[in-house]
Amino acid sequence: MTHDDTGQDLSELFAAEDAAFQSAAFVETVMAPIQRHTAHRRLVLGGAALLGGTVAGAQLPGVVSRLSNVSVNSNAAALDFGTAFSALQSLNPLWIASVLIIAGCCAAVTIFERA
Amino acid sequence: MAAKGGQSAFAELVHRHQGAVRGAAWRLTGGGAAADDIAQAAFLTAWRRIDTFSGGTFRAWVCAIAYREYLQARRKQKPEIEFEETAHIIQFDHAAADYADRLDLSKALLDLPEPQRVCVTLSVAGGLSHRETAQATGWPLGTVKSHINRGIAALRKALSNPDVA
Repeated sequence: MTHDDTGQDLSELFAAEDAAFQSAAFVETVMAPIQRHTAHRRLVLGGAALLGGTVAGAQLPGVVSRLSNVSVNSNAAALDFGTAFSALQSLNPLWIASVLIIAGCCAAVTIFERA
Repeated sequence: MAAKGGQSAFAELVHRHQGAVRGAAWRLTGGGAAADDIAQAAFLTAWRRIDTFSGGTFRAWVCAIAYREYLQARRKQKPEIEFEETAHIIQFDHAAADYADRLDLSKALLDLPEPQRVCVTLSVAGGLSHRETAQATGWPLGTVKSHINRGIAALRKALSNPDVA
């Protein structure tokens, strides 16, 4: 294939034309909405994670004491999955919701957040 | 690197390829004022879909996206043509447009039938292969090759005779 067949000469002319379109302002115009979106996403995810973490942290002492009671009241060797599950069932639903929120936030960050 | 989402890396890509993409949008629109909007939309789409970039050149990929954005913009604008008198004229980089307007090549390109202009813009100016151009336009490969060959011939003829261009 010759130079003429591929239009390489015209490609070079187009490239010379394209140089006239170089502009720092255009790069800023393109990047501005990207930066706004990223900042908004970090704010929302960070806020949700902070809220979930705070709520979960507030519930933590209660959870620890309940699990300790389970451990004391039952035979140490007999603490099986069923016992632990029933202990979980007795927990405050708010705590479970908090865990779900945190898990959801972590999943969202993992999926959408970029380095 | 940009595929992993680095904003600075993507900004560098925008800086490096803005000429080709803005030029392609300018040629696709026939020098219209919406060219920069199309180029910007193409880069934003590229940012959102950077994970789907699977090889080839970034320039060709974004030029193909710019063509789809051009088609979308044209579909949206068609019903508004009747109201063009009252339409808000979007200000953009007139210095670049004026400069390009002076070039014989651009003038000659704008005189081509649209299918030839599209194929030459994507393939010769944008750097897409014939096959990529066929995929982007949805036209058969043979048709695309024909448009490109005729477009190139017409451009050469126009450039060799400046009075025509």
